[in-house]
Amino acid sequence: MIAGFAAASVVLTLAGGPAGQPTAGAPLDDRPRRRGSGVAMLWTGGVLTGLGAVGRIAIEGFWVDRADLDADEPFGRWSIPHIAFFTSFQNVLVAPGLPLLGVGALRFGRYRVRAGRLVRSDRRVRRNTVVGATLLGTGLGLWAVTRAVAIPVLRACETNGCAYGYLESTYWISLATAVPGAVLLGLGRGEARPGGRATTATIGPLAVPRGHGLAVTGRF
Amino acid sequence: MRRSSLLALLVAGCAPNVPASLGEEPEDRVALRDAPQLEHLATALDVDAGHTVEDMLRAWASPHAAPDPSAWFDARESAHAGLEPLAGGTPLRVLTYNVGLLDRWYPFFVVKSPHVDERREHAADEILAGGWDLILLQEVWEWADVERFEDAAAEHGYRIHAGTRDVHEHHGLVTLVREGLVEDGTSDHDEVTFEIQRAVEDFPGPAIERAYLTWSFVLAGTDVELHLLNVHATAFPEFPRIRAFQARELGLAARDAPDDAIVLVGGDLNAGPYYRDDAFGEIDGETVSGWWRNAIAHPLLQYYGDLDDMVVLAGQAQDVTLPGALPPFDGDDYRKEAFGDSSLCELLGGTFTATDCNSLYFEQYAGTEFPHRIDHLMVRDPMQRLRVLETALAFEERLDFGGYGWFELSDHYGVSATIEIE
Repeated sequence: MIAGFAAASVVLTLAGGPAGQPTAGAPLDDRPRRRGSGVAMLWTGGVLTGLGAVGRIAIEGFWVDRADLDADEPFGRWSIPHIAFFTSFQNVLVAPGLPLLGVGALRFGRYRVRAGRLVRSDRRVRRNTVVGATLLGTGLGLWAVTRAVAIPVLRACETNGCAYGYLESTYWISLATAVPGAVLLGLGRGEARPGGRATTATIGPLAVPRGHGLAVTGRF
Repeated sequence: MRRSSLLALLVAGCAPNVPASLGEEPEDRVALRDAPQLEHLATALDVDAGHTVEDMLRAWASPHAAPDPSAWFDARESAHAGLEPLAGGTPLRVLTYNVGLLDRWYPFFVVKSPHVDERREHAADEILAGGWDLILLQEVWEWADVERFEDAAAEHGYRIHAGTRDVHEHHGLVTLVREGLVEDGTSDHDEVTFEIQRAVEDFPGPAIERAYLTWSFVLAGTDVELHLLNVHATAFPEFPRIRAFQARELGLAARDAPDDAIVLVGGDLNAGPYYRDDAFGEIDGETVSGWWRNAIAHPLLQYYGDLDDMVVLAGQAQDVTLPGALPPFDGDDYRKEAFGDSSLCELLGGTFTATDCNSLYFEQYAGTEFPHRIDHLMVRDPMQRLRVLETALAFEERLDFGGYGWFELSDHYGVSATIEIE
């Protein structure tokens, strides 16, 4: 059975703003256009990521309440593919949400400088870039590593507390670091290159011979 | 242009719906009317003399009348009753019991038998204290429950075989043999997942794959090689063809044992020998139909495995006669109480292992299923070294679970047999 989550699609195509070379503190335009500011992308990314987080909380609620899983009870190895499948529903939201947040922040960072709402600061650029990249790298790295080794770890877990504790703690730490990391990195890079090239991002359904999916495709 | 793609891709495999070997076994090519176990199916299907078992399984037509195995049952009962009594045989008590310890989640759903938390605490001790020599259990899904049975087995003096943990959690089967019955060094175990499955039951469903456990050993103090096969076939009346293929596979496995061995097959086949009505029961206002096709797996297992139903051999099969007392189906009445009149449970008792008379069964399936004998003990004994002395239902009574109330140990009744082996 193939999940039908890709029945609806969202397509966002956001063109970049004018590629001027602003001087720090000097607005290029007295009435800068909001189009291309990245705000819509930030909202979209935030909503998707937020819904993903809410979905994860709902899944945890299902495990605790309806499935009545007890932390001290033995972990059923049979459930490993089910956990992967179940959590994919909300990851489908977070997966496009996170890059949208990053790209939106990038465009917002450019916009703020170009619009004169922010005086470009090399120090801030460096700090946001370094902190953002560190957080994003840590979050994504933690997520990737913990998922890559999830099967042997879960198989070694004797209790639900061990298995679900491992999955949920690493998930939330990953999300809590990756989201601000993506935003900070985007802001830093946007501020660093306010006249950067146009960016596009598209979310759409994906159909391959044996399944359906959701794809985020873009030039960032 | 640089492109980045994040993909979420979900793929499910496709399971076969017909066994790869169908048509290759000699038993597949026998005409239904030439197989005494299946003759009544030929009559009910109204097929010509050349219609083979393979033809039946491929065409999978619906019977035109209730397949009635009475003639076959009578013949086997008489043949068994005519056997010479054994002199100095080894008496054994055998039990098959679906303990109904189902407690699983899968995305957006939970499947949980009533009172499972209370029942699982008592099941192992209750069953192992019963004095049975050979015990075949189904629906011991969770490894934690297997560990409860392992602890009880050590205490009560049993050997236990539940398969490997990873596979066990999908089939839920446990076999126990009383210590001292196994000749040292002769024990051999295996677990086999059926080729034909209802794939959705495993994923994304509750991780169930239908299978059978095998355990062969020499019965201590004798030269008899005993082969135990413990099975749980696919559930629900909508899937009789899957069950038929599983019965074929299990039967062929039973037939694989040497002719001088005794094969005991026990378990929940999820199919009975007889259904009076083809349409019986309601689910969400829809009539449940197709019961007559559910009468195919039971004779098919006997045919492929050269097996006999112990209840039949003991002369205690009432599958055909008892439903005569069953009132015509009325959804409202049947949902209110067992058969619309629970006093009928006395009259209809003693045969059906899955019935609304069981309070746990009623809670889950009231008015949705024809009462049926779906838990079976069967024997293959070409050398006629085994006698079935009697059979009976087990664990019919409701137990006191303290503050949780009185209810049965499982949503099925067990089937026990007292046998004697030369």
